[in-house]
Amino acid sequence: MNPVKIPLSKIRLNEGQVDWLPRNPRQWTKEQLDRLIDSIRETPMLLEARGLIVYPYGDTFVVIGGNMRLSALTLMGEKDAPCYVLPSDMDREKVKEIVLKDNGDYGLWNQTMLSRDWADLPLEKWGVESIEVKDYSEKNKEIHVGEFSENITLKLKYDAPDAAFVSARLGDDRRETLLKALGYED
Amino acid sequence: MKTENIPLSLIQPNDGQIPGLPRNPRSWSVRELSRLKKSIQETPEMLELRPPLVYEYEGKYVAVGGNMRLAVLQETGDIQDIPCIVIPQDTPLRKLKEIAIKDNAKFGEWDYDALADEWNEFDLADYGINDFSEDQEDKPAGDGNASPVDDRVTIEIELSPDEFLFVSGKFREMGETPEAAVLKILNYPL
Repeated sequence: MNPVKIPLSKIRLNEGQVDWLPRNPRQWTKEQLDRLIDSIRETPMLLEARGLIVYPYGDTFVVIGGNMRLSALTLMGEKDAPCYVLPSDMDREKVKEIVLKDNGDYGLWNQTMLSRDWADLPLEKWGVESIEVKDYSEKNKEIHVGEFSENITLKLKYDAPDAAFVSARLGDDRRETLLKALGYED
Repeated sequence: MKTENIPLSLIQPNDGQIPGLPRNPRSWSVRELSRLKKSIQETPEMLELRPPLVYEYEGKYVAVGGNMRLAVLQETGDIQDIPCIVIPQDTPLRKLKEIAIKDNAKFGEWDYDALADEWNEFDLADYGINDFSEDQEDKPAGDGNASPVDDRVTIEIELSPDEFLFVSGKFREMGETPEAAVLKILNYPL
């Protein structure tokens, strides 16, 4: 299969508009998006090699793989994007699998090799974690990117009694109490 | 750049054989390899959509992107030719290095709430998605009708990106999940 150029005006983010397809389960901050824009400008060849994966929907296409890149290309003022168009009769479960697999990560970075052989590259800027420590807070994070501000909601899930305790201890200004308890200095 | 079918026997892993291009900085366990193998068997279409990226070198092809997939295919040995994208020969070394890294880099991140709410029919570990559930203590007890998940209350705290970075860093230092860490910080009576 080879990708074809499709005008951005025809491509839609997967926001759950297809009734059998849940919305794209990925999120990003403005800063991450800016990094991706820099990266696409720096290595346009990779965009050609890794076209968006889209699914025909009415007279438009919904992004199956590459929602963040679509957002980046739109901000960059690009007119079109290389796309792999999935057949409209593709098995629905398969389409969903592709959403997940296009972002799945099977191997790991080899930290020794990264620091020894690849340190001349701005790895962190490209989303390469320098140390792979398990960050439990990832699953508690919800990013809201507004027009002027960007906030992150920390979501804590408790059984009712624990929730009541935490809620009472945190008081009215949860943010302030939490930051103070952890010794945050502005 | 076009996708071409290339005999598997002509493709080599990136072992650092091209001067100036360090060897592929990715590692994997046998378990991960078998997960990827299962994934390829289940969704062979992905190979067409995301073919390995190869660079011609001394009459053979070196995998710049897709070394793990090649390891799987070479192990199973039931495919002769595989679709590959051939990187132009005049590509500067620096660009080859960028591609080797960026083809595995993740600029965005998972929305774990969306995964839990809308994608829960899938066993996420099979999809190479880091699953934190094995570290959670709150598995259903097995009796009664109430689902522990439904009974849970969510407490939300709005933070700026800097504050979130600080807070999650503290949780990581403590080696606790955010829920457990917050209970500890607030002196939860044990």
